[in-house]
Amino acid sequence: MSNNEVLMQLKNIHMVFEKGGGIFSRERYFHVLKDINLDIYKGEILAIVGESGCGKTTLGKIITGLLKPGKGEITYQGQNIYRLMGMDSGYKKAVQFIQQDSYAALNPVKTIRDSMMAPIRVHHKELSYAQGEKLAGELLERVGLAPAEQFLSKFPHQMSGGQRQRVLMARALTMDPRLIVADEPVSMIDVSMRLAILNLMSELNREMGIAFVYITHDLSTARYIANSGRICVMYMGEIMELSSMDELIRSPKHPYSQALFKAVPVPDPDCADIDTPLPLKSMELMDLEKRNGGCPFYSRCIYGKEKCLCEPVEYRQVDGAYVKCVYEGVPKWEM
Amino acid sequence: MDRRKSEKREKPDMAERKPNPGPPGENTVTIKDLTVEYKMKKYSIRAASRVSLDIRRGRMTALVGESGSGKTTVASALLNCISTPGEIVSGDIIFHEKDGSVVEVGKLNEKQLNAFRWSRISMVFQGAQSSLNPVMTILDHFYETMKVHEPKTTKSDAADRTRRVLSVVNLNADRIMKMYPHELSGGMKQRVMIAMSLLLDPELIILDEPTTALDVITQDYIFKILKKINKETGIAMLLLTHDISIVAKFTDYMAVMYAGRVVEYGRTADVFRHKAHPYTRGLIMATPSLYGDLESMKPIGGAPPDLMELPEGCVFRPRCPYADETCGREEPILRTVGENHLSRCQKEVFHVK
Ligand SMILES: Nc1ncnc2c1ncn2[C@@H]1O[C@H](COP(=O)(O)OP(=O)(O)OP(=O)(O)O)[C@@H](O)[C@H]1O
Ligand SMILES: Nc1ncnc2c1ncn2[C@@H]1O[C@H](COP(=O)(O)OP(=O)(O)O)[C@@H](O)[C@H]1O
Ligand code: SF4
Ligand code: SF4
Ligand SMILES: [Mg+2]
Ligand SMILES: [Mg+2]
Repeated sequence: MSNNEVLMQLKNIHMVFEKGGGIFSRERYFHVLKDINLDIYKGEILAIVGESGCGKTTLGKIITGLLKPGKGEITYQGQNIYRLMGMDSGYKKAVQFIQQDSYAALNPVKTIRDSMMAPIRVHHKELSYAQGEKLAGELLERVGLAPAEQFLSKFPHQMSGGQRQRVLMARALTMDPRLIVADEPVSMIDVSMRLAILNLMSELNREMGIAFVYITHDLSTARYIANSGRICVMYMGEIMELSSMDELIRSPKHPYSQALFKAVPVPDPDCADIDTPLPLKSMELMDLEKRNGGCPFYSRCIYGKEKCLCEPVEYRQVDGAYVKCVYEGVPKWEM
Repeated sequence: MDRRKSEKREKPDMAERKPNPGPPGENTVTIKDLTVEYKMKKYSIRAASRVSLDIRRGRMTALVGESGSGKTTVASALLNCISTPGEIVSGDIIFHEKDGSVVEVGKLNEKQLNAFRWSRISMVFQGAQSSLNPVMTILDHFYETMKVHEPKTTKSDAADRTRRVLSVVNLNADRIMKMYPHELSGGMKQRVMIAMSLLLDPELIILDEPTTALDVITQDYIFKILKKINKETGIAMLLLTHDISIVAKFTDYMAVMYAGRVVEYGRTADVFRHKAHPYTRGLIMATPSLYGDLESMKPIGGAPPDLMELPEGCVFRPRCPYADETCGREEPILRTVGENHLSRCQKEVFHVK
């Protein structure tokens, strides 16, 4: 779907949070995102994968303008989003965030009709209430909640997690978005219903040209939805590998991606290998204070050399993938 | 019960038990026709319905199913600690000692039960790591647990045992024992919980979603440790999970649960190969994988079952692509469909030839 036309650009994004940890906290500040450079293309599907706490949600909120980074520049169609946000530029409508917890995202005392009508009243002033309601109904049916009349007067607690997730999609669609950032949209949904939500997102991407950033800790669902798109592997606030999904599945290149691939369980007992330990030096996480601008994966990396710790790690291009690793001797991936 | 207690004191520790895992493959626990209901004022919910299951010594058995399918309910029944207002309506839970004697869990009185829990069957509860007390050191947690079961335990006794079980889960015991929970990562806390479950040398450990909150690398690491304990000590493990990929990778036997029923049970390899029950098929096809063809994947249609309004006949009927009018007549029973392989589908075509 993607035509390689840049929709959004993130340049040198840094984000630092102050630790509110009180007496127990050791460091006061804490680098959540470090030097993020990322282009998002029109109509593409980009998966952002990484473990809990690596900064995925923070990045998603920055892309959608819900959080402002400490440093760095973000553009939407070539223009700085902070300049755009003051103006009636369309950025705010065009880029939508869908959060993981669909229950928290919807007002529990409002019906689905009310939740849908609120943004419609604000952003479609030209429509009468009845026309707005018709639009709400159409969008609900578009996301698979048909017939809409059955759902309009329901309250969030009367719906399943999957149905609420669909309502969030429909509500985002009221803005006619160009990009939807979906944060773990299926992690709280029953396994049997997950694919249906992922299929819905693919469909909206294909048929309406909406770009998706799919945030997840689950490499397998990332592959499913972004199969012909791109993937970005994050570790401790940095992008470790950015490539087409195809290339990553065929041959992950960063030592972290390689360890991740070995760790992901596959639903087939014949593939199970539980005797080989993961390609990791240790399970210890990097002490961020000792990091010195070097590689955050050093403490676990079996290929780490001294220079990994003291040099800032630059991206290298390997077979079309961007890999943030200074060491060129990482073996080629073999299954 | 008394016999067991005196025996336990002489029981060698983990390291010494290594060479004697006991005869593998025999049952540690047999569950027969277990039915559990939560009885509310206006209505009641049958969260486990005629569940039958073998849990084998030295093997990891999975109870896999979606949220609400009854996994935790069945596991709590094994310890006779179902949360109120739940109760066991019928069925037997039989615990087999290594010497061949048996304990009927349902017939133990409160005192016997307290001795039984932890020392014979221990459980790592869902989200257990958050139950660690923030103002107690890790050693104190172990000490408290031991005192409950062996009031005369001294702190140095406790430290010795704690050191042993922490090293089994690859934690640096001397460092960790002095620490407070907030100083540990999620993965370390979970390993502490597993170590605690080993403390009194149980024959069975129940693990309720032990790695759900952890990243896959830590998950893999923890499961490899569990498998090692499982194989080397002969301790049986019952894993409760919704993740069929983990089941495929790490378990030896599996029971698939749906709406409070076991719909398929067998060796993990057999269940994946034959997928005798349509729900198992659906679940496997609905689970994305890093490898293989994406085209053949599809979600299970319809909505998850509502225990208040189950259909007549087969409970999976509203979502089953193979259902026909014969499936609505009566509920299929769990039938043998192959060696050590049971399924709750009435259609012969799915049975192993
Ligand atoms: N204390 C309780 N009172 C009333 N109903 C309960 C109680 N505990 C569980 N249930 C019901 O019993 C059914 C099975 O619950 P159980 O917790 O065993 O499921 P589970 O498979 O462990 O699900 P999850 O993965 O969400 O924990 C559910 O319908 C649940 O709502
Ligand atoms: N508002 C905040 N204040 C302080 N720390 C935060 C805040 N938001 C997130 N963090 C911390 O930043 C890190 C990254 O968070 P997040 O982006 O939510 O990660 P993910 O979504 O990948 O789990 C986490 O360690 C989190 O605790
Ligand atoms: S930069 Fe060095 S430590 Fe980091 S991943 Fe590459 S080889 Fe490993
Ligand atoms: S008994 Fe009928 S409805 Fe039930 S699983 Fe078998 S084919 Fe499907
Ligand atoms: Mg998050
Ligand atoms: Mg549970």
